[in-house]
Amino acid sequence: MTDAHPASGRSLGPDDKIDAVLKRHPECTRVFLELRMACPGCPMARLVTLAEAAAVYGLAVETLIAALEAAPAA
Amino acid sequence: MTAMTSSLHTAEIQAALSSGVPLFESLSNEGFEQAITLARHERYTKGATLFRQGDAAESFHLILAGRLKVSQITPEGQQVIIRYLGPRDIAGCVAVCGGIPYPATAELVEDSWMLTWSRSRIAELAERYPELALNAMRIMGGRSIELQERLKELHASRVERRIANALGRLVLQAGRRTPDGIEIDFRLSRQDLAEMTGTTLHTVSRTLSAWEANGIVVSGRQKVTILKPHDLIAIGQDLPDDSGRDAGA
Repeated sequence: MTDAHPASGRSLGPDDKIDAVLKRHPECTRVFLELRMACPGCPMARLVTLAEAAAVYGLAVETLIAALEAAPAA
Repeated sequence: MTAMTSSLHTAEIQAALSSGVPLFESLSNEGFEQAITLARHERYTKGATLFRQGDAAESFHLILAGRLKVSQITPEGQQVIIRYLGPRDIAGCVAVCGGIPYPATAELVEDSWMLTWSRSRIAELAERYPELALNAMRIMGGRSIELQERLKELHASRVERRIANALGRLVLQAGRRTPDGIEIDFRLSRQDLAEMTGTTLHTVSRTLSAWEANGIVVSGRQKVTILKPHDLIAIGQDLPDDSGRDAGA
């Protein structure tokens, strides 16, 4: 776990499940859509981690986490 | 829409069509010359519409140069591309049959040259030179076989999508992480899956075997484990390929 993002206060880790992240931070939905990731609403999202999803889309997990942490509040 | 008068000369056209034109196969020299003499030479600019779905089929075309997009509009307003046609292909075959409106719309996607016959002209020619009619039939037959092939693929992919989506729903209800992937945590037979998706046991088995060969799932007699959840969802949702289907998770 890294330090919380200064603006959003979010602190996410590579093993966090996607669905849990989206439930806690619905404003992160946009980030997945902008990255053209099909995670929001996916039946697998409850069981798949940020690291696994990033790998599928050929993204560094740090990049995904940084984008999710920096997402502006809705 | 607007055809310009040709500046191509008959000799040039004859040279371009001297061989490899399915419409003219085994046609006598006389028939070939008659056909070319009785055709209008037309030039269309890119973006023009050659004919529209539903219009009376008044003309039959042979493409000398350029490219055509043949498409239909679904009741929902979605454009479906039937095929692209290029040099030496024929367009507007239904004009030969008579009485049937154009089943699709043809648009020029490049500046194009055509030989065009009116419906009565081509009927007249086909009567005098039956090779023309037989060749047109052969071409239409080939296209019909191609469409049947596509229909079969479409149907197969729909069944595959249903099975993928059924597994997705089961994961939502009863998915569980294992070291290998995501397991559906109850006894699930192939027959169960067939009944959930309105297909046969045979189709479910064939589909699961294909997925196993691609490393997407492993399935035992009563157990399914998903090794590449993203790939399965991509099949079910028909996601574009660029979303990293090959990577798996």
